Amino acid sequence: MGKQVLCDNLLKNKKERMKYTHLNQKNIFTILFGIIVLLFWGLTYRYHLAYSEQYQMFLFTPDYFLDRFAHPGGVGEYIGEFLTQFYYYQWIGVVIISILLMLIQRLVWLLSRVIKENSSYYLLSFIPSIALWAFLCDENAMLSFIVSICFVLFSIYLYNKVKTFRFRFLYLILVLPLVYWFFGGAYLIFITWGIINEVLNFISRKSKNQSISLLLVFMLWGVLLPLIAEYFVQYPLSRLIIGVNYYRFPTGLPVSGIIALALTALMPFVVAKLPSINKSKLLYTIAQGIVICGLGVYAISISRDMMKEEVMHYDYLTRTYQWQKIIKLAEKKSPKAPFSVTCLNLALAKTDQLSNRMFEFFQNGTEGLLCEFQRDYMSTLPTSEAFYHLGMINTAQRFTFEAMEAIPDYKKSARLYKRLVETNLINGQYEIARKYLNVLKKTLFYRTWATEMMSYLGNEKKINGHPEYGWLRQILYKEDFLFSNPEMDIMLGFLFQTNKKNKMAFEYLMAYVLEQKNLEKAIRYYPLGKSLGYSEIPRSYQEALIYVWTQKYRSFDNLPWSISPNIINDVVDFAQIYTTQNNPEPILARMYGKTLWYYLLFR
Amino acid sequence: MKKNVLLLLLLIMFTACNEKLEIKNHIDKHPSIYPDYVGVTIPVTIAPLNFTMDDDSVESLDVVAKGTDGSVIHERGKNIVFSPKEWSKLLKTSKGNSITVTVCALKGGEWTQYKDFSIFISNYPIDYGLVYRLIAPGYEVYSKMGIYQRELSSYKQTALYENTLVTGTCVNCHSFAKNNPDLSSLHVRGKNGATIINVNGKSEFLNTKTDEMINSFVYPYWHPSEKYIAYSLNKTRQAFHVIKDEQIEVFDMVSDIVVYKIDTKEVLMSKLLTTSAFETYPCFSVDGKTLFFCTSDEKKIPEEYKDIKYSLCSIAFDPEKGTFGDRVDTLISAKLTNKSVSFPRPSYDGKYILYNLADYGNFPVHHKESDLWLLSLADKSTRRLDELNSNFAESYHSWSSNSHWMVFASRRDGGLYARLYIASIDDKGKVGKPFLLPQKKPLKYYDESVYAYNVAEFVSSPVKWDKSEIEGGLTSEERTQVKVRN
Repeated sequence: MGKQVLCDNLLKNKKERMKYTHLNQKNIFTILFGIIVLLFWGLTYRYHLAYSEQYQMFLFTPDYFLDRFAHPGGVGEYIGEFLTQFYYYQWIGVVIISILLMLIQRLVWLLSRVIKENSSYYLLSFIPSIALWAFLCDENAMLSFIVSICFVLFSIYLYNKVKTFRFRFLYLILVLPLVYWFFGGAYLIFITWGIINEVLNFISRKSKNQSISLLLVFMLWGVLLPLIAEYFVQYPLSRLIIGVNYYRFPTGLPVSGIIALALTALMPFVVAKLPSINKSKLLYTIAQGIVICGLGVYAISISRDMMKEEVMHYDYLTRTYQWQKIIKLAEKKSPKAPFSVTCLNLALAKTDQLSNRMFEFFQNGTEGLLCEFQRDYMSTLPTSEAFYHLGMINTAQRFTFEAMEAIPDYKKSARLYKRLVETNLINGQYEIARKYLNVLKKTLFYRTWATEMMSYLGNEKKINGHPEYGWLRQILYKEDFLFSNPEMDIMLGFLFQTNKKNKMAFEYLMAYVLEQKNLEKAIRYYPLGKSLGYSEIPRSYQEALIYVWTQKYRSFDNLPWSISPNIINDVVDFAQIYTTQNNPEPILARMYGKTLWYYLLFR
Repeated sequence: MKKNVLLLLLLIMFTACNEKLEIKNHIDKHPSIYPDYVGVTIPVTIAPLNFTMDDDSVESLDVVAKGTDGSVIHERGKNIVFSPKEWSKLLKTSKGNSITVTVCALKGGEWTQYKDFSIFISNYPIDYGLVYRLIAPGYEVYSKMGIYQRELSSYKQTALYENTLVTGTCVNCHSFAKNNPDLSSLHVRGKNGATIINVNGKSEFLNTKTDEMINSFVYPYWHPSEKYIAYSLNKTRQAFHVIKDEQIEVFDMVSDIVVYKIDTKEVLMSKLLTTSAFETYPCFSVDGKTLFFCTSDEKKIPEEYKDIKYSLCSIAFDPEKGTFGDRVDTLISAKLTNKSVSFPRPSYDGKYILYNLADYGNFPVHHKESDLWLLSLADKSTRRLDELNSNFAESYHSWSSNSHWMVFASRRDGGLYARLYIASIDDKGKVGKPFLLPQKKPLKYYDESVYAYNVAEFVSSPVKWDKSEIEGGLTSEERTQVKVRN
């Protein structure tokens, strides 16, 4: 008897230990997954978060909530935006994403357990989270999608906790419409789950009539809810079905989102219904792990866009005035995207290096300096920054406002509101600045700045005394004309003539014509900069001057400018290689790739 | 016990409501309230004119509004929100007279009473509501926008069409036949664009571009017979100023005027309205026998943009035959005034034309100097409506059905976001002080709103556009092609 009790206890302890071990293993897998997610976003992809944060403006006002609540999915959107505002500090955003993806994994697992406990396939429950991770790699993927899925999965979990048919039926009648209205198209997970579940229940001959009743409710709500919503709101039916604001563009979910949605709906059943593994569990677990990791790596690698991450990095540094960091980043790897090159050129100008160093880096013409206006919400950002720092405040304001109006999901941007406050302040439009500040005061991370800025309204002395605003006021245009992009050099020339201390205007003027390869204009404009007090002629200008000289003259006697002997030697060397080699380009790229001459001839 | 508690609560409420103010200061000036409703003239059915004082030092306001029959309404709070029922009753009993408003403000624990002001209650009724576009005051790019209807007797605003319904569309130039919501024209631009003519609930989606015309239909105006709509055809461009006190310039590269005959879908053209000069902003006289429009000599754009000045002209129109006269008359000459006329709007009683006058150009909302003027059709005299104008741009305007109310957009609130003001005009031509379109909490509402009001039109009853029909029509590729009559 004593022995039997001892055996039973031992067995019970063993089972509990095994259960505890399994639980620990599952937790370890989940936490490991969370850490990997965290490291990916934190170390390689965090500027996507800075990008997302700047294209919204979460307000702590009842109207902001009511506006979201007025369409399906609004609560999910509201919570998503609430969380997205914390991307202001990117590492907080990284943690938020990690937690949400872990949560979804656990919810998928819990739902599969509701159908049937099958811990042999625990790792498969990570697949929906990996799919959502891949979805989030798209900079236009909204966190509201992830948040909504979390809540929908939880609502399914709660549904399963309701055991009696009558209350289940009531739950569906009352709660499912709320789930739809609060969380939008993600409700399809609930509908799909419900239909499959009830069909399985029907097949297994468990309470057939009840299954049919519940199945009918799922199917009816699945169809009716968007149709009813269509009556109340102004969105097309397709968006009401698949989700209004899960993606920044109003085109509905991309394929990656639809795949993630389907996987989330189906995975609990897949996990539950696969045959249990009783032998060689470790081997199967390892095999699953390898396959899932492989698929995950593949999915993430095709979804992530490191080129855009680089662009967003440059954007973030520009926005936060980290000029030296921009230059250091470019020194490691010279950017090629016009957006990034624009940021780099601005950083060089702000650190007084533009005229000397611009051709050390890749230049892609005037589009990498002051690109022509385009009707999108991204490409005009660095140009608006450049115009701002140049003192072309009206143009900066226009580009900023247009960028905000071009945001595809019609949201407003706290970053752009900030800039509009500044442009209006500099222009003396205090009532407009006040309006924007009153809004920014209702945000979390911009309110302090906004409160401080209120003291500038109408305070001419304070504005004029500000190192940035006061300076920009001094260099504003005094005479009016209409902006003309084809005459950018003339506008820059006028700007410099308005205030001859505006060195940046002169350097941009020179940079612009050099980027255009218009040396005739470069020679014509070059003397304008005499009043700026250069201790020596900047390198790019020396290269331009000597290049022009060599087109006309064979000797360097009587050079009218003070050109460094090194540059003279270099141009001679350059010319010789260019004229004598069959394929001079690679040689010149190696030796003189960082000169104006190389740009003139080969870019 | 419960009864005692209830009695106690009632006593507390009664005491609070009747708490007598201890006035410490009197100021012999009207209070600086927002919106400025001091001395305005309002219709009897207007929603309550709630207001506040835009002053952080004000802790509370105490307001008593008294009718000529002695009836009183009393409100207290930082934001004055009148009870709609009490307000309505007060206005009805004071119709044709005025109500007197006493405002006291609590600052630093002390009550200050201001000089009383009057609000005049007009005898003239006003239409049911307004229809307008809401759009951010941007440049070339637009985000969310829509056409909305606002009931004037309440704060209720409903969306008639929002561009979330059909992605990427831009809507504007909504127009109703003498404020009748059952007859409307609406332009939708973008990939799924069309001109939607709605006649008594039936919509037609038109393609209004033909080979003979320089562009599609733009600015509309219904003929009083409801059989025609005059449209301008414009190729419009924008340009942008560089100095701080200017922003946008809008000009037409080319523009002409045509008249569209609804039943035959024919476009009627006249050589006098399709010249190389810039003809635009057509509108019909009350009897339908005259077409008014604005015209400017052709100028080089953008070099001569400041020389583009529009005159107000007219040409005869025969509604029976659908033909035009053979000469153009000038009512207001740009050469003589050295100014530019835009948006002529005849009153429906045939007495006046309300128009904008600016230094140049034809897009007054971007011209700070733009003012509202009134032309008397009886004696052709003109006068600037100083009762309505401000130091900022006044722009688009329209008349109520009985021609005793005008609504116009003004940028006086800060200089960028156009807001709607309503003003009365009596039989003698006396114009009342305009009032800002009321809102339940106007300071909060207008401060937080990111939209400007465009093209406000009165409507005599609710508009009944079928948004499903609009969505279906826009997303289908079927369009009715208009044709030019030979």
